[in-house]
Amino acid sequence: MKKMIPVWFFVGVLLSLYGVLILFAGIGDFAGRGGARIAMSQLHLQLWWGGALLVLGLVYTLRFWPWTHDQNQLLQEESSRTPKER
Amino acid sequence: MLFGTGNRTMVLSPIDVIIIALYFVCVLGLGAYLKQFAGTSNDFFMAGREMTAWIAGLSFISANLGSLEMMGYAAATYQYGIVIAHAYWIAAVPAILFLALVMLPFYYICNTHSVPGYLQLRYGEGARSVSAVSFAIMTILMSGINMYSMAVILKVILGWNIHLSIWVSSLTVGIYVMAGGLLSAIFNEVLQFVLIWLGCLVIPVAGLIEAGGWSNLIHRIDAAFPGQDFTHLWRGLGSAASNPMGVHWTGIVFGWGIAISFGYWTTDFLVVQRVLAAKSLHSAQLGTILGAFLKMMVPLIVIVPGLLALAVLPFHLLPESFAGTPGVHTYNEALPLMLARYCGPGLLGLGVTALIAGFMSGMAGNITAFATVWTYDIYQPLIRKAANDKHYLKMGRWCSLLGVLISIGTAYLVMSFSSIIVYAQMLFGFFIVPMFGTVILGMLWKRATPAGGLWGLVAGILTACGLWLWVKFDPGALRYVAFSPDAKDMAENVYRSMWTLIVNVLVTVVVSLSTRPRPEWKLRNLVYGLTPLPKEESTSIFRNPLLWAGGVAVAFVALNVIFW
Repeated sequence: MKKMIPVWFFVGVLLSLYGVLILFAGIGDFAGRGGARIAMSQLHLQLWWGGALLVLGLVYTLRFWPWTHDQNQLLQEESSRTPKER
Repeated sequence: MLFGTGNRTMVLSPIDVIIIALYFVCVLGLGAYLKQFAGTSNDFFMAGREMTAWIAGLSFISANLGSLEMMGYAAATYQYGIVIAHAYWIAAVPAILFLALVMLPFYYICNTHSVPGYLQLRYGEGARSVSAVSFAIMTILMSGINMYSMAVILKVILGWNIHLSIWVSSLTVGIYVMAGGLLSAIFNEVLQFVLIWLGCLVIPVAGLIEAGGWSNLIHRIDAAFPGQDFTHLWRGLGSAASNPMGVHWTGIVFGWGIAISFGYWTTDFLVVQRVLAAKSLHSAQLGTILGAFLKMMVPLIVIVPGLLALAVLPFHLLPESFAGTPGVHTYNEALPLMLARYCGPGLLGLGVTALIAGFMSGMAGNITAFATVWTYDIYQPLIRKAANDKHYLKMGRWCSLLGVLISIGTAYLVMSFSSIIVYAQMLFGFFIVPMFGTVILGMLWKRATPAGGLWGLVAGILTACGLWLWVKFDPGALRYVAFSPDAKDMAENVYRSMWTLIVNVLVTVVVSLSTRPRPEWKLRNLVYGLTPLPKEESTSIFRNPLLWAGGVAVAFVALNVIFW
């Protein structure tokens, strides 16, 4: 039966993409384009939030990377077989 | 036209649009990917019963954390103050822990597919049919709430066309649920839970900095609304006249904390279905306790924004009846307005995505529960008894889409209520509260009979509807139903639920005592005392549900004391 990719992998990929996009928008605002029209713009929340999302997303993506996981499992299964089975 | 010219609060940048579009691609992609794993009716309706505690717990809370929860309770906080946090604490935590420790073993051991399914095993077809039909009606009406909330978000923030927004978002949910069933709904709910938190957390972070911290926030609210207690959880509940909700503490404890809360968290199949999909009873219990903890934290992203709206918005929000008046914003817009206040490009896209995710998780919860109850508890026993598994799988897929289409029609009902949360509580009172009395007596009292269960359920539903009609046609009746002529809609709801539960229990007991009980061998694995409860699977104390439930209970008490 086909193995299901963990949901956390999808979460990681989406958060990484969001992190990059929000960080990009934050850099734009920091460089002086826009930002002043919202309250508390001096906090530059996009930079902080984008960075945090990117780090969190990468951690989840790498931790639950499905293909490496499958490969490791195959290796484990292979090593647990008897020579005759091989 | 999708991009209408309404009274929009903010315009999206291209990055925001990309973020929202990515989300739609992701949920549809997940649905398409998971379709291959939903090949049988058990996979489709119960996600193959293979979920871990984490996934079951996150899905359990995410299905409840719909746009109703987020927008509705933020609106209600603006209207009534911090007292609305009771919805997350006394009206949730005890009931969720009770579900985990007492009721889940019965649901799990009897191997039921649904709560009406348990009633069939315990009381017979009559009770099952009444509960299944009333539950199906409620889920469809609740979907309408989610749709309306969603349409308000898109109208307020983006000025989008309300009707097209409803159709695009609803059909997206319909497609992914139709493809992967409960599995697809659960996977998406986990994703949605993460997005909801990350998207909405911006508001309390930026808002508390702007307000100058928690103490200054409280001072600002007290100064802006002199003579009204918006900032205490219990202190204003000594009299109905001394708090904005017009409710006495007895209504909060017995109406909200027991009748509505236990009804919703222990018998509303929408949430129970998520933990029944766990791979073992132990995982289901741990997932549910995790859900109780997460539920306790939700006020940070819902109640705090409502309080911040009271403190920092330069204008006052008005009831829903003023919707559409130029220059006026209503209670239900509290959360979107706060989002628009603090979120620049990128973050606004994430915030809007969080609200859309909330809408989708709430709606998918209703649709999957509706499909299961319709197929297993109405269609199979009453319409087509002996069909093969493929037929029921097909029925589940199509009625998921049908559920979406019917619930679109109910969205417009919501607009006549002063606050969407009032509408939701009214529905719970009609359909869920009576079910709790019947289920809990069935689980804990072996003397409860099929006639007692059926007539208790019917009497509860009729009481709720009758009391609602009484106050509707004679507003003076509020002094009897809610003990005070000052009672507001929410107070009426909690007291009506309390009466409903009392009548439900009394009728069940009286009818049971006057009818013949079922033989004990028919009650095995269904009733306390006749059900061998499984021994603890885990040897580690850190995997013991009792330990974690105790920790959550201590935190619950601490929060009530801190915000007393």
